[in-house]
Amino acid sequence: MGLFRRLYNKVIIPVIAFLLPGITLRKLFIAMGLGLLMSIFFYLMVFPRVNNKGWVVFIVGFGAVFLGVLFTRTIANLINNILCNRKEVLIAASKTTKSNK
Amino acid sequence: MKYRELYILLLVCCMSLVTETIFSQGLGSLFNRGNTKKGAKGLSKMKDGSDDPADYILRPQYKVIADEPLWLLKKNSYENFYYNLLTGSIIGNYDLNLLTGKPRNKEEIDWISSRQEASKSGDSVNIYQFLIQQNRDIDLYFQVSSYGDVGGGFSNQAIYYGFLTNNHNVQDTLIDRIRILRRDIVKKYKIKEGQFGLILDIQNIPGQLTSPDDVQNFKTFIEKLKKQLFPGSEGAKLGIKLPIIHEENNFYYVGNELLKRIIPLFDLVIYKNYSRDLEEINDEQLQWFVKGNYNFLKLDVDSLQKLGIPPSKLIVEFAYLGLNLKRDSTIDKLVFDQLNPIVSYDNMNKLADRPFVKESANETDSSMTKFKFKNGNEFHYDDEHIRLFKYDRLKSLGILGISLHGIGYNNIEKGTKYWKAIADVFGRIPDKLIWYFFGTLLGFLSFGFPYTVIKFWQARNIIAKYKKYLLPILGGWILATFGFLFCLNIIPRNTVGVYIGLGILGLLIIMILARIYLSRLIRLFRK
Repeated sequence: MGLFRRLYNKVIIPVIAFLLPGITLRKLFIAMGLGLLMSIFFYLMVFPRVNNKGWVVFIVGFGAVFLGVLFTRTIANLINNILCNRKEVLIAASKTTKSNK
Repeated sequence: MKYRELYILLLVCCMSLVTETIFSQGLGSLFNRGNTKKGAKGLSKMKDGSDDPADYILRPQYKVIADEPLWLLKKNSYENFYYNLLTGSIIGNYDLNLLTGKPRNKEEIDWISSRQEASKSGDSVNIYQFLIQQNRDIDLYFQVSSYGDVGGGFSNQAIYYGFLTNNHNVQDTLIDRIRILRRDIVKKYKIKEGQFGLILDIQNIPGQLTSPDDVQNFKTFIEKLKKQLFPGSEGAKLGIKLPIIHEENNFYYVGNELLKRIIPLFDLVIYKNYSRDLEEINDEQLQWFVKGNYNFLKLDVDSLQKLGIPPSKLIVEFAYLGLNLKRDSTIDKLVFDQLNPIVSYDNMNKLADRPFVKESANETDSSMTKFKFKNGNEFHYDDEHIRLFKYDRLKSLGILGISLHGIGYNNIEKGTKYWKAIADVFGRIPDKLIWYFFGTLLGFLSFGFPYTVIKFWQARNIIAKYKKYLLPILGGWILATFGFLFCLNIIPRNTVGVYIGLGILGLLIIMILARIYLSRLIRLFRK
């Protein structure tokens, strides 16, 4: 148990954090769960239209949904950061902070 | 305020001047140079379909079978098939000796089951291997054929009666031989057992053999064959070829009992809607070959259905045969040229060397295409248009598929419109999986925009306070949504779709630029 905990803290968490910054294990599991669930719909919709093996379609669907879920968060953070870092927004924010003081 | 209106008016005048200049030079000249031209050409070439049958795959519910028995098989003729448009191929046959149960074409069977064929690359490869190499999922059928022409001084009735009653264990010999042959081919060329089926092409059984005992004997033979060759009935591929329904006094169609009892034992039924033995058909019925061709074919399918053959098991076989007709001046009618009534497409070119007038088929009366010669003789055949029409109408009747008899023998080359007709009716162009991958990513990207507003109060406040950020965010969201719909083919993935996308992009750029310059103008007036 101790070995697993050490492995988890020293290896698994840092590797995940390195690959997907800002992610937690909980969010990762949610993304994987969503990926699995939605790849069923992906498979049902896409398989009759393409000329690939069923398992390939399922894996690609899982990958697309899994990456997509993470992508949504990234995009949301990106848009928020861009908006918050606009010059006039920063100036307005600093004025508000000063007046509050 | 007055000045602002004046400036706006000036701006509109300038824009209309520029627009008029562009139109007066012609829009063509705008796309007439370098990359712009290439891009515009590329866009205009985007189509829904394709002219190349190689781009298509068959819809999973249909079967298309190439039928090349040994007497039609020519070296390398099967290399011209479009394997993407075939679910199966009947290659080779066992010419049954009804008196002994042994094959009459032993040497040919040895040839087809040995490594004597060579592919174009020069490697020694067997036909079965070659077919599997071309399409791993293709079904291979071996055909047992008998046309009752054994000879030996026996009547046809006596020969078939002996066969049906298993005289001298004829049936057992046949089944044993087929089992060994099938086992050897499957083992030697590493073919899956479920891929190797059997088609019974037993013709010319006299119509007199329709007593209940004869019917039962035939059924017992099929049951025995199925039990011994296909012990697990699941995935079995046992088929039967039925002759043209208009043949007189035919064993299969005299009485209603036989087909109803034997058809459930078969997995597919191949209906030959042509006959090489025209004397078997009376003259009036022969007319359907020439006029109202499709309408009779439809009637045939209806009649077969009434005889107990569900369309879901029915495969209609088309031969590449034309009819050679000459004008009989005494009755002023076209009759078959008795010397050479049936002509293969391969020999059709020789006939067409003579001066003729071609009359295309009329789809409303569903007749065949004609070559009309000066002496009044005519040659009737199905061109690719009428084939497409027939395939399409048969498809609407709910049949399982089609079989192409002697397509290799008749040199129906790759790239011909005959293959395109099959692709158009029974095939589809498969989508690329990559579109759906990126479509899904773009869908999530599109969802990311509203998600920002839902998740971050800062973003909500900024957009509410600074309206100028609304347009780029809304534009990004519209573009991502468009990409999502475009990749998933909800907005058609063709030229129109691309122009819609470019239109949205252009509109956004114009709106953003107009907003920037108008605000600058307004600021200028205020000063």
